[in-house]
Amino acid sequence: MRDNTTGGALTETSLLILLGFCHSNYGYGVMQWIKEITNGRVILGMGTLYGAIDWMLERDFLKEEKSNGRRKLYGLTEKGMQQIHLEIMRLEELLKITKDTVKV
Amino acid sequence: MKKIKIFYDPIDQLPIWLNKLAKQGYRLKSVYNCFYSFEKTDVKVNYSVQFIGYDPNSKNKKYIDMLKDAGFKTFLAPLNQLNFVFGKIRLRPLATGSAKVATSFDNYNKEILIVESEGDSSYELLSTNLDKALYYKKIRNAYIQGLIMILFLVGIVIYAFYKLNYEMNLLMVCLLFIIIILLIFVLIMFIKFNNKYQKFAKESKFRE
Repeated sequence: MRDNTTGGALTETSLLILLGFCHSNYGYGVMQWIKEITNGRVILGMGTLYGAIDWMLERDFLKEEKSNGRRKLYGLTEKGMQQIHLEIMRLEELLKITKDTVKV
Repeated sequence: MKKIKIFYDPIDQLPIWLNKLAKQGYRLKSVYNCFYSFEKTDVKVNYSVQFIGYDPNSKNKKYIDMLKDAGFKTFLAPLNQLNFVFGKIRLRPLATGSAKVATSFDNYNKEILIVESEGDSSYELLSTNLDKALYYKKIRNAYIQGLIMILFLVGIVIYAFYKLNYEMNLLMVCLLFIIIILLIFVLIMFIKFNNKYQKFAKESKFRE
């Protein structure tokens, strides 16, 4: 299945953000989680994070759960979870191709 | 400490100036137009700047709330350049959609978002090449709108020149001089942001 032009593949940043919302979380929480899980390799800019959340809300990957004053909590939708499963399959295939090609 | 500062390109020049003062131990306290107020501090702070004038107020408010929630301090400053005032309605060529026309003081003169973060290292608000490319593309396109406005002014001047039977007077010379200066300024800014856009767009094709 072709997915490079039909919007199937997510970027590393987008996938990490989506994973950050597997459990209800808020923007800054996801930013901190990504920094921690990647040992500081990926430090997300708040502008990038805000744009990604907006994009994921538009595509129903995320849903707004509740607001604690100014703080907004978001959670993953079923569509968002499906996207993660698609990414797992794609990345596994890519890893296999890479390993087979360089014979690691 | 209070300072008055006007930038011809606040998007690029403002963070450099603020970070220079931050290194000398001055932290931004408030901004009102071109009046900046600072306080002496031992805390190490960094400043990032983002142009938010092209987005509607509601979207900007949510973004600022998220930044505040994350512990960042925010300030809003005006982008004085390319603001044309027609009575009570102000046209902002650097905006898109409904944000293009500012009809109240709530969303006017607050186009530049200043974000203060604590720590030694600088903080980038946009961390991917694609985000940076799209950001600079919006600013570049805005300068095209500015160019169109200036060409409209040229049309008015030519018409006035025709009405005066092609006689040059002092007013006409002054008008032409202002328009040429504006034209050169907008062209320089267009080239500058177009180069930035091209650079990040090319990189974003292969690297995040």
